[in-house]
Amino acid sequence: MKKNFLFFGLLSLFAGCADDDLPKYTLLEDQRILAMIVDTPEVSAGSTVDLSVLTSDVKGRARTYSLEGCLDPGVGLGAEPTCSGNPTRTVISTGNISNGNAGNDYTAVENAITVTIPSAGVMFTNPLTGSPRSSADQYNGVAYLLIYEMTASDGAKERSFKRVIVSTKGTKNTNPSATQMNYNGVNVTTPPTLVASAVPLRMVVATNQAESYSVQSANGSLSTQTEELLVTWYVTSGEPKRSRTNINTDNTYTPSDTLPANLTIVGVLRDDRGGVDVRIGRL
Amino acid sequence: MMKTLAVFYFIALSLNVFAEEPAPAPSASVAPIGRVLEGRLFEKGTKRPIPEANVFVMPSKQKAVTDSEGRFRFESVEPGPIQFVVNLTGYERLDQSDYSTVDGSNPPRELYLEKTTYQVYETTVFGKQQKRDDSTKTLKASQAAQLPGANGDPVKAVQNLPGVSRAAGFSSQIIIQGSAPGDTSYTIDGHEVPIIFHFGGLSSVILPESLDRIDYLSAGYGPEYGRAMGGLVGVWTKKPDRERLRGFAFVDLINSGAALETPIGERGALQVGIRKSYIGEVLKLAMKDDEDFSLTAAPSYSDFTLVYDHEVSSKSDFRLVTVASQDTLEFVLSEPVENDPELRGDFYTKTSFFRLIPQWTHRHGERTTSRWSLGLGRDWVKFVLSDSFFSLQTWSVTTRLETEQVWNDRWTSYFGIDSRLAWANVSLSLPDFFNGGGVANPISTGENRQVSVRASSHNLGGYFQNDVKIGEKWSIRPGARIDYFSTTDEFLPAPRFAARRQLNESTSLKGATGLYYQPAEEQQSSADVGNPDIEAPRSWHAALGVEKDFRAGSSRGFTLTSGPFYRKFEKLVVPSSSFVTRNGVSVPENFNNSGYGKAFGIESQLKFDFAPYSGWLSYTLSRSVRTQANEPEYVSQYDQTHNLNLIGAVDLKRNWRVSSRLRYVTGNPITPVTGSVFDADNDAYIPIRGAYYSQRVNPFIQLDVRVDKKWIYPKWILSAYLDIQNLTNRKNVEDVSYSYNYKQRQDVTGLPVIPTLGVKGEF
Repeated sequence: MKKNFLFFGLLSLFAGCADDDLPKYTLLEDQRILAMIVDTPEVSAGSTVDLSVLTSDVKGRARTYSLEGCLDPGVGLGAEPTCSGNPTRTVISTGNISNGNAGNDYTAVENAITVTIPSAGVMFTNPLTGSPRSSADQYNGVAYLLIYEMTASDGAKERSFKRVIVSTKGTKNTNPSATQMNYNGVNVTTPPTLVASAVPLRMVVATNQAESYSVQSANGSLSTQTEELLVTWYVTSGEPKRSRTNINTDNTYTPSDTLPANLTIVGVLRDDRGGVDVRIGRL
Repeated sequence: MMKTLAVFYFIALSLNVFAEEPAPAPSASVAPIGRVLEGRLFEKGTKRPIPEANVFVMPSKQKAVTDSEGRFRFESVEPGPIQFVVNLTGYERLDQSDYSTVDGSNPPRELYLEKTTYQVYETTVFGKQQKRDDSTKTLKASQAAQLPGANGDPVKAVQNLPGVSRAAGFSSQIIIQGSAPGDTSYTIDGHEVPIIFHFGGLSSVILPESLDRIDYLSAGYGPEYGRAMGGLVGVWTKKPDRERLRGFAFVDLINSGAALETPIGERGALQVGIRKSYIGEVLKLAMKDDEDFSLTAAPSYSDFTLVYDHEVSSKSDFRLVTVASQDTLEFVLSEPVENDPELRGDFYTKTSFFRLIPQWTHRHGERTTSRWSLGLGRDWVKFVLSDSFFSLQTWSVTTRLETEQVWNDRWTSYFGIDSRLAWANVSLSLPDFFNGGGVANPISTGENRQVSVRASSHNLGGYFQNDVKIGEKWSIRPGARIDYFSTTDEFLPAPRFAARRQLNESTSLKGATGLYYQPAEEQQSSADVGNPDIEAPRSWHAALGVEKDFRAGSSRGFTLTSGPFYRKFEKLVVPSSSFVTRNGVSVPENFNNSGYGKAFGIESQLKFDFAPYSGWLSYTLSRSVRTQANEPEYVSQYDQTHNLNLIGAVDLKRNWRVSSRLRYVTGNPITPVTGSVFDADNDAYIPIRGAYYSQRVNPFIQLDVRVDKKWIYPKWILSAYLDIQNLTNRKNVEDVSYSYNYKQRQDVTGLPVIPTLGVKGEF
């Protein structure tokens, strides 16, 4: 039945007609949370991790945040991503968002917040059923949910969440690391000149950054899988041709008709297991 | 006795053969120098011999009567100009000049009579063809195919019946009286098939010309069918023509096909048909400049139908039906969907099946008839979405065995077995796809599942039904059915009862009630991705109705069928994001039986026939609600308060016909999205849903028009149709789409005006 939903959803692309007047994913024009990065995306129970959040609000509003944590209620199964009513809920931190300013288009990574992951007794016991998670679940990882809420001075809110994977696995996931992000073939760390024509964007990543890892099935057998790395692009004006690209693949950036005084380009590199790296270019 | 027969014979001939006959020849005298003149009389276009017709030859006013092969013979016709005259009810008068030769014998003549009309518009039959069940409505396939908006597909025409909800978009799924689409079972000659439409609605999977009728079973249907809470759409194949070789070929904008029908021996006949679509080629052309969307294998479908019918003896008939169908689609999406980055890369889907359905009917005597049939088949479903995939291969054997016993002229019983055994190989690697209130989470955010299993399911059913007449006015149909579903390990008894009361010659009341179960779907009861403790969902039906014929013995006038229905749904299977303890560990529940609901309403159909005008008005007023654990009651996704279909047709001269359909349907309910949360791991926003189905899109209004024309040649018929859907190009809202973060939404409108032109030649 699931395949039917998917299939008919795809067919509706043919059957339905809608004018695409909706906002573009890539354009930073309102308050956004772009990435949540923990220094170690997969840990053992009882560890501590540092969480950094990449936020943006080109409107330059004063903003506050709150961070809370709880055991994953089953978001991947359809549960609402909230810690409300969850017996493991913990308020971790609240404060002001401080790193945004006009010079960086109010788009920056905030200072790290340290989070302590609960013990194995808490992580590997379902708080609602009181029974333990299966050994396969413990090996593959159980998620500890970090929910970050950002509130602008006019009351507008944005919420985001990240799963810190808590597992018994020996070799744990690490964040991928991009070599560099290029604008028109030039590394953005040495700001290239903004040009009025379409130019390539590319995230350069060493191919060994895609890790192989093992997955345990319900019967205890192990299989090996390999991460797939994907880059998400954001800009403060103009338009990348694609919102996501594979690594080491060109995306085409087309500037707006009137060149802005400043352009911020953000590339977020994700593996498909919660590992993240971020590159920001300011032109 | 002889006198009675003579009078009867005279009356019979007078009604038909002697109607409008020219003044009889005072003396069908034999001219001394006359020549033999013989020939055959056929129906124009079909070349069907016309028996027992009077053929006159003028000016001698001789008369000959055709035999069963349409042959006629005049023993002596004077040489010179002559005139053939045939005047037969239901046909245009034939007045054909000819010449009788002076020397030698005349060559055989072939005369062709043209029918008065080749466009008959009598489509719906209520409880006449299928006397066993008053809850059955029957569409004659040959005529339903000509309904506007159906593109020549008679199965699609079921959507015009009262009680059938309109499916959104191009889908033709049959949604019966507030049930879900998955609660409708589809059968071919009584045997379940996985799909009845290519790509969910483009066209049915069996050639229209292979069909005799389509049965639509709604609330209160009888015990001979089960495993469907909503109802059943059953298509029945036609008996191939044993008289002569026939065939046809057609072509329209999306597909073409052909079939041949031939007698085999004196007692057998075979029909073989095939159809292939090319809609994908059209799409390919339309998208060839889109570098983000590469259609590597255009969507296409094809199907094959074979029907072999053989009269084994005066007591036994054999029929073999084979149906095969395949749908494929493949494309590459370079640009991911904005809020679902997993939706990118290679897409491939293939759905195919075949069924081999041997059938045997044996009349043991005047009072006992047995019907046996098997459905041997295999289904393939494959779906690939980048790294995700779903693959299902199923072997199935369906069995129907039934004995009909006529105890006396007031009591008939039916005993039967209706079973389905299936063995499947399933492998999948898919994200958990959560859909709440019709709003789906991005698949990028779902937990990935990997399964590779062999599974089997055995659904065994037995039934017993009686048809009893009590006095002159009452008939009752008590019956029962018992099913065993191996996937849920349940024995489920289902009593059913129907009654009819004839109030007078033109009016009758009817009622039916029963209990209906259907097995949980395989993935719902799976130990790997479902809930092994799930139970079969069930529904209780009740329906009442009145039938009134206002024609008072005439063929012109109105007939009305109307009545309320009620359905109560229990233990519906709904998705769950909770955890449960199973075998000592905490595992996802995936599904549970916490769904309940009800659907009720009143449906009416007013047919009118004032030749050459005819049509019907069908209207359903209904409400369908659901509830789940810890949730307030909400209207069902398929709740449509008002559903009105007005169909009208006029048969014009020269075999033209113009027909039209006007539809008004309350807008479909939708669930508002009140916010979203960004899933920073999967780069997608998860919607936060408001009250389920608490808003509606605008009403659906559409006008379809169809023009049919037939050209009748002596030995073949050419027909063409133009079917224009959404003539006014109204932008009906089918759904809404959202911005990546669900903060803005816009309407998704349905198909614009779509003209379809089709041409068909048949002999």
